[in-house]
Amino acid sequence: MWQTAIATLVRNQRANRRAYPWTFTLGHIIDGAYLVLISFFSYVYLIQGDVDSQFAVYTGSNDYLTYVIIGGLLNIFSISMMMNISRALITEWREGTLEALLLSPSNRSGYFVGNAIQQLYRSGLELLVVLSFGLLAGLRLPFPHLWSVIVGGLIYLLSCYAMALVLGSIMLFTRDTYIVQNTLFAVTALLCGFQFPRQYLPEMLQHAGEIFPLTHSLQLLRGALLTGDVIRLMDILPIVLLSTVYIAVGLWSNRLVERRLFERF
Amino acid sequence: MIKLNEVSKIYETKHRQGWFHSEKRSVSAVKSLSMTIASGEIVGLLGLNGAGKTTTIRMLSTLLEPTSGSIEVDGVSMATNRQVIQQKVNMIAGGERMLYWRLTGRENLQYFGKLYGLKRSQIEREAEALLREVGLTDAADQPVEQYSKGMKQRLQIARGLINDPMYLFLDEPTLGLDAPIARQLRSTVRKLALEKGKGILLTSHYLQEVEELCDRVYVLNQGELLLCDTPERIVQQVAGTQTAHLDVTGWSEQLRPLLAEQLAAREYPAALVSADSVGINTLRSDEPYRISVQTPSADRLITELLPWTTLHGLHITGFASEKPNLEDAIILLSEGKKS
Repeated sequence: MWQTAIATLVRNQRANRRAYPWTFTLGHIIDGAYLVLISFFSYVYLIQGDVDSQFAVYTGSNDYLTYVIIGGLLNIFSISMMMNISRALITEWREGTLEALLLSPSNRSGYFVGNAIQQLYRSGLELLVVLSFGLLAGLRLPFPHLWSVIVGGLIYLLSCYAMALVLGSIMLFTRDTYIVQNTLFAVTALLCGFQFPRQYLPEMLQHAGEIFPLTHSLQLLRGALLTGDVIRLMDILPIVLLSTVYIAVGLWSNRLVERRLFERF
Repeated sequence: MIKLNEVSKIYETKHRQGWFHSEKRSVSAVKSLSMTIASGEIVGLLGLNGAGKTTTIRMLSTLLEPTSGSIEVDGVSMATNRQVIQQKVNMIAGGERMLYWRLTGRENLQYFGKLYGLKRSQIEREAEALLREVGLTDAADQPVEQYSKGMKQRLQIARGLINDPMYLFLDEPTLGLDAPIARQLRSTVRKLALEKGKGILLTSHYLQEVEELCDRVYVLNQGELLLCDTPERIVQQVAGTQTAHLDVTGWSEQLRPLLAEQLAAREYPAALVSADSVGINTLRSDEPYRISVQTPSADRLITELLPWTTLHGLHITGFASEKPNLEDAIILLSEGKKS
């Protein structure tokens, strides 16, 4: 698996270095910076720091600005991760390289992991730069629990990866990227609680959001960052299980779709 | 050896009828096909568009699963050992697909080598040797998007050989290539079979290429195997004999029944196709006439007819023979004119 993963990582890195200029990364950073600025101006000038009392009850913190900046950045990060992992195979199909890839006995998990690591490297760098804008705009992390932040970060990555595999299968089956990905991203933006506590949503929608591993891992990671919550084994176990189900479904459905890819007459 | 045993492929298609209804239809792309490809042999797969050639190649290269029947590669069943077979086979398609354009030629080979589980040192060695073999050493570190069509096709061949497959499937490998590059590619293909013992399956719309390269040819029509033989025997069986043309002077219409009698006596029954004037309609005896005769051997015919023409005062002023080729045979077969 790792040979395919490293080869795919190197291949993507080389291709991206040639195909995408540094302004592409700058564009992503500017997007993130806008998000920070919008959050800042909304908080300072629109709601003038006046946050509903229920907010502290739901989140364990009064710091709306930090809450919303972290949520927004993690949303951009998850979209970037999921989009690039899920689009890997359909991009190969569109560029005419999928046949050559499927002819080889390479490990498909390795292929996706390679794509994920390469994307993590890119998105991670962009996230760090935007995070520094956030610190300038008032993002404060007074008591982060470092170990929990690391574990939460890894679990968050796992959730993105797991959801991307299922999304990728749907894309390959429908041969569409735009409608499929944007539908999912609109739903996750609403239900996962990136910009506001999920408790504000109607109960039915709160339950609907729970089918995404991203919802739970976001909650854990933000808790570790914002209020220094300690992540315990029992907290991550359900997310790992849910992600494993997503990964299994993603790989299985992907294999089915791959087998039927050339069936269309 | 590759063995296909009664392999069939049915595609299930859906045809939308209005917003909420769709009708399922089955299209039989390959019907009970049995064939073999031995090591060191170049086998052709021919047929008009929609004959089932690409489906067969895709089944052989593990991209498609047969609906029924079995495929074995060196005794290993494809149904249960897909990954083992993927190490033994590879496919090269015509056109500009199957390469990463943003990578260099060398990087492409390195990536595909890794996908086949080769070690780094082995990949470096193989890539260097293959790039040399296909004449791309100087362009090895250029991105593929800067390659010409011919260079991309040559890199495709290197890609198809990176795992040192025992069997290679070539789907229209010379599509759109200039004549010198196509010739070079044919020579590479011949070398792969003769010197390296690789079993090769070739589909091509350039039938001259198939005639030149293939030891045996399978002819498919609408998914069914019509014929399997050497190209020469297919031509002979299907398109029949040569047509010999004799241009003579001194011809008169009274000679026609005599010539027919002569040909029949020499076992060319009903072989006289025509005896027409070559020039403008004149009936002068010094006007050249063309006698066209279907014969298994044009050379033999002229030797046999020479005494007869001399006897009847005819002078042979010209001689030509027309050989049918594989293209004639395939068209006849596909049209169902001959069985």
